[in-house]
Amino acid sequence: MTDTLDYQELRERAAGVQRIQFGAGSQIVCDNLVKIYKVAELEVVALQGLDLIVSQGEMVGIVGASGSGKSTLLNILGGLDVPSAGRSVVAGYDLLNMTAQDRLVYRRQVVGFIWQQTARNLLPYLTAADNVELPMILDGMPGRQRKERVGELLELVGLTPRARHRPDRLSGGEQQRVAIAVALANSPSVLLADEPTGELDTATSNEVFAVLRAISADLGVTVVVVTHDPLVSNQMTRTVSIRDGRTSSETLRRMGTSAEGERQVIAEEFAVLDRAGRMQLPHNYVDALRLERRVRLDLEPDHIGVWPDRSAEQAPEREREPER
Amino acid sequence: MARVAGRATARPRSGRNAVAGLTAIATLLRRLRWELPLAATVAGVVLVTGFVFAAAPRLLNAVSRDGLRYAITNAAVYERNLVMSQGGRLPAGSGSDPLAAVDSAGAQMDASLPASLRSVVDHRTYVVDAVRYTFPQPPGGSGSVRHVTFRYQSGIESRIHLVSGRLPAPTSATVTSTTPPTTPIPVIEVAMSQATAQALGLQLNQPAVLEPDFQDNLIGRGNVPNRLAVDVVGFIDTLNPKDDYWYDDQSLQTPSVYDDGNTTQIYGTGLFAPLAYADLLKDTVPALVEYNWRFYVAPDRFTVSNFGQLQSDVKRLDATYGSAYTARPTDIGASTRLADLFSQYAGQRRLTESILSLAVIGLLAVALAVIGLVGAFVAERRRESYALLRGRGGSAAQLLGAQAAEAGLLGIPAVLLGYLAALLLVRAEPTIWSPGLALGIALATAVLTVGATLPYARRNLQALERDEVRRERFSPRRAAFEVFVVVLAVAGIYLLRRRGLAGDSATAQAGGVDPYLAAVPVLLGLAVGLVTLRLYVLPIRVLAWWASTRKDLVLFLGLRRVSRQSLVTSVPLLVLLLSVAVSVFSSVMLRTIAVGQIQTSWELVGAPFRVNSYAGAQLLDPDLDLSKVPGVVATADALNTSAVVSANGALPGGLTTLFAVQTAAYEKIDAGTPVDPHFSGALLTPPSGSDVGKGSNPIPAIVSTASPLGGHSMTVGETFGLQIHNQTVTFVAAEVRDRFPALPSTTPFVVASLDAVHAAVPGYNTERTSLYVGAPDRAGPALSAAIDAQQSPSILTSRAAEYAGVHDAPLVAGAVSGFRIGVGVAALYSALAVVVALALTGRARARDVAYLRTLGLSPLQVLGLIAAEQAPPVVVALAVGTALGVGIIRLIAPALDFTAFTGPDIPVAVTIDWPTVVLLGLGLVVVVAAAVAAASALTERASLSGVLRMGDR
Repeated sequence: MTDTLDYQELRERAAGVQRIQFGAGSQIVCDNLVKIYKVAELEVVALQGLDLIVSQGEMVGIVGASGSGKSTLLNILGGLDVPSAGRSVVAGYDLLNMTAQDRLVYRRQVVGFIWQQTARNLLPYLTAADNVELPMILDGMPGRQRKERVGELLELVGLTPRARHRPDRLSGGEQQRVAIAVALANSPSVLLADEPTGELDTATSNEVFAVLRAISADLGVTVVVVTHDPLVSNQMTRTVSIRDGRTSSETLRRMGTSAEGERQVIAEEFAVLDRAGRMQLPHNYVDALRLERRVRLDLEPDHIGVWPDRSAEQAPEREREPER
Repeated sequence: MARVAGRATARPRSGRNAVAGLTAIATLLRRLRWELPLAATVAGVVLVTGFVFAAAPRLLNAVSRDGLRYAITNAAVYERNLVMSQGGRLPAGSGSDPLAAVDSAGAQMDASLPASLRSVVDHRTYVVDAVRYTFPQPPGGSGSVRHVTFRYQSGIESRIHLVSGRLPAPTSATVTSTTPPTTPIPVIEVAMSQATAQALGLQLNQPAVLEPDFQDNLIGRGNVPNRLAVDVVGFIDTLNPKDDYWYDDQSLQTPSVYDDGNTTQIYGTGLFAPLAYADLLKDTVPALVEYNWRFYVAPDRFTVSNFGQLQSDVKRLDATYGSAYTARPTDIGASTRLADLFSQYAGQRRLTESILSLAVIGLLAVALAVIGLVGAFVAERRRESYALLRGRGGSAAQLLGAQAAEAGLLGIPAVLLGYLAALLLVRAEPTIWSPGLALGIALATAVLTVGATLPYARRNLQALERDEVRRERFSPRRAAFEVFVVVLAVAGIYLLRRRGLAGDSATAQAGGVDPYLAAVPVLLGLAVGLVTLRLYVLPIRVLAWWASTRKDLVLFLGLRRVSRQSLVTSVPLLVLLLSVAVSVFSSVMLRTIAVGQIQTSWELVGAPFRVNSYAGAQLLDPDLDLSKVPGVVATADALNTSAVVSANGALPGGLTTLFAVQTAAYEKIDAGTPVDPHFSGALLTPPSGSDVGKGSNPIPAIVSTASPLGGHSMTVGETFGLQIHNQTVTFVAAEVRDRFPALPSTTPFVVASLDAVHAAVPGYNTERTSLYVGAPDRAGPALSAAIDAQQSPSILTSRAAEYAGVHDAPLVAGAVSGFRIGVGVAALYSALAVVVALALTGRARARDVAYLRTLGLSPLQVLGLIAAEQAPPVVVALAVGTALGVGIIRLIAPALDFTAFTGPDIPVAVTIDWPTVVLLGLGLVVVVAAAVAAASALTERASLSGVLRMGDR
């Protein structure tokens, strides 16, 4: 690593910034989150020091390959699973230090969940209205209040005429819209959705996302959607990519004007630097420069340069010797 | 899209109260409409179980009631009825009913009886016996003394008929005695049987003077009446001597003759006219008159519910009046054998209950396990719903509360229906056990189904959503529980073998069954089942390895699935094992009882028929010959007497029973029967010659293991002597046996050839005490008729009747029915366990099979896979269950008293009913085959994508 930067100058610059707690004021904070599963005699590290901050009312997509840990993250955020280490705070609830009763209250009042399969969203023996009413009943909401709320929610998702229909009489899109109403029943602060449109066609998916966006925008509900569908992730203003149990990059989307003067979505992908200073380089960057093992870093006034370690190429024999 | 006006308004947390909880439960209960087949299955199992256990106590009550009535009905008239007696001089009434005071005294006696006893009394009669008179003994007269008793019985007029003469009437006639004093002697007219008149030497219308019999208790000091004359005016005969009315008292029909070797005492009874009661009172003054009031009970009024009170009241009556009967004549006496009958019946009922309790507790355990299994199945089916509910904020209390409410909704009406069906189908007195057990089943249903739901309400939500089989970790709690059950079972077996089933605990002393000891077979079954669950995967793994070496994919996969099953999915094996064990146990009990009854009936009689003399006249009529009766194959004379044993010429030795029989004929009679004597040649060919029975020519004999020589056990070839007719006869032990038919095993016996004994003791040659008859059962009536035709009475005992007497007794038949029902119900539960076992693993299997189908598994291979998965547990359950069922009986056999079901004193060997065991096994195999085929067909029909739920997780 070259040492062209004046460290003293950087230190002084850093001292000028006021230190605040990581993620303070955010709706969702994951700080160095670790989740280890034990399968038979093997330990599987599903999350290995994941950091994530989501603000209130934000609509965030979590993307990643299968096994990257995105569903594990969602289960932890939903209070369905407990992290092994780290810190995870959602709407003020510390998910690592909750009692069973706290967890129950958390699931009832703080988060709403939408899954991909109807069987995991709706009870088949209840009508759409009954399904929406169920979380309120479980939470002990008075009857009249419940009825009013059910009406509001079904209206919100545009299913008032289908209120008395059981799930098997509803289309896939309708079922997911009812699921959204169910998830919103107890006015949660956070709505978590795991592949909510995985079984829907594009048109229906768009309808469902329209509802989710409206909820986020109008009700100020934080929405976290897990997906591996690029079309879905493209509908998010912010997409967090998870790789090997860590947040690897974030893509921010905003409406902008192209060189041709057309209004379009402009997406910018950022690498994520965690609190320990770790950062995952995008695969295509790594492959393009054939980066491996060691890289050379150069601190510049406004960026850090990364170079391949050419010394390895110059003295291959010497480098490989110890491996024999 | 409409907008929601902001967040929901804050709601009071007090909403989380009971009403809110009930609302949640009510909402969740809507699933019942959606899951009708599931709900119907639960309700059906609970209904059947509720019915079985509501009916069982009623059935036992009905059997107990029938047993009680059977015991009463079959008892002798003097045993089951009650006689109250008192000496006195009740005044004669005026007009047409001079004995009204006697009847009225009877009514007072009746009123003074305990209410429980009064409730079973049907009617009463009275008997008036005046003081006994005797014929004056002429100086230097013959050695016979004749006595006459004057009697009147209420209602006798319709039970006798006049043979000749007329019925007695009041008379003012007198006779003058030929012996001083020559004062006129009043005459009492009587009617009596011709046999009595003949025995007493009385002629029709020829009055005879009588003197008071000073031996009569009614004649006390200073109570000596004057002489009386008896005038027989008519001969009567009884219409039906066996009518209960006569109370087994033949004194009006037959004179009683006793001969003590010096004097012959002849007792006769004459019937006086009721209108002559006043005269009789006057003529017998100041002697007392004996009044007997006979209270006849109605067997159908005896019930199980009044039995306890009756037993206690009869005991009290016995204690109060029983001893007074032989005290002063004026004391009230009571005579009945009801207390003995009750005690005997209560003992048998206790035995029946204790043995049946084994099967009932076993069945109860199986039933509860099946309900638990069904509960586990239901919970497994709802796994996704539970995950969803918990994800939506459903608490464990709400889930479990809904399950408890559902159990109540399904269970209570089901057990009510079961209870109602039991009420309708089993006609018996009410018993608290019936609704109690039904309610218990409902409660158990709630507890078991809630228990089955508990893991789903508490388990980690992530684990709840996984379909794959979870391997159980070692659980110290589970291991401790299993060790506890094994220790309990072993300790129970030890105690049971030591104390017997009834035990000597406080419970048993109080007349009940020790619940711990009664539960020992179930504990043992549970212990064996738990150990089997632990161990049975080991051979399965070896088999799986073997299958893998044979490249048998289907067998390998099936066996691997079995060996990886979790505890919950292994529970059906435990239930199946227990239900097979209960079935086998019940079938072995049935077989043992059936074989024991046949064996015992043969052992008791010793032949198809046996004729004995009445007690008191030991020898049979020499003229009795039954060999000509149609159907008779052979007859064998036998002499059964006691003899003193001398060893090495020394006397006295012990007392032994000498059973001398015509060996060849006896062998012919019993050949091929369970009591085939298998006499050796030495017994079949008795010794001959003038020195038979001497030391030089001893009579070969079978001697008992219980030696008459005290501690000295006799060996084959040893000689000994028996004192017969004041003569020492020498025998040689040709064989030593534990027992011999018709001889008690508790006392020593010697069996020898009757011909040899006759040859050794010439003066003894006509004597025989019994006659054994070989004939088919249908010859009974002809034999009976031939015996009745003889002058001296004899008793015919039939093996078939002995068998029927035991076999048909309600308590025995009830126990047999109980075990039969046990076999059936346990088999039903076995089948249910198989089906539930398949259903319980259905989802995981469906997914695995679907996956394998995508890899190319054929329908036949699917069938093979399911069969390979189901066969090992069923085979293990069948093998271990059968061994367990047989083993339990073998282990506890010393504690079981079968004599209540087979007959007295005969040891019963445990007999395995292999045909039933094989049939049960085959039945189970058929059920498994059908269930596997159905499961295979359903798996085949399932949509692959639906089952695999592509992209699910």
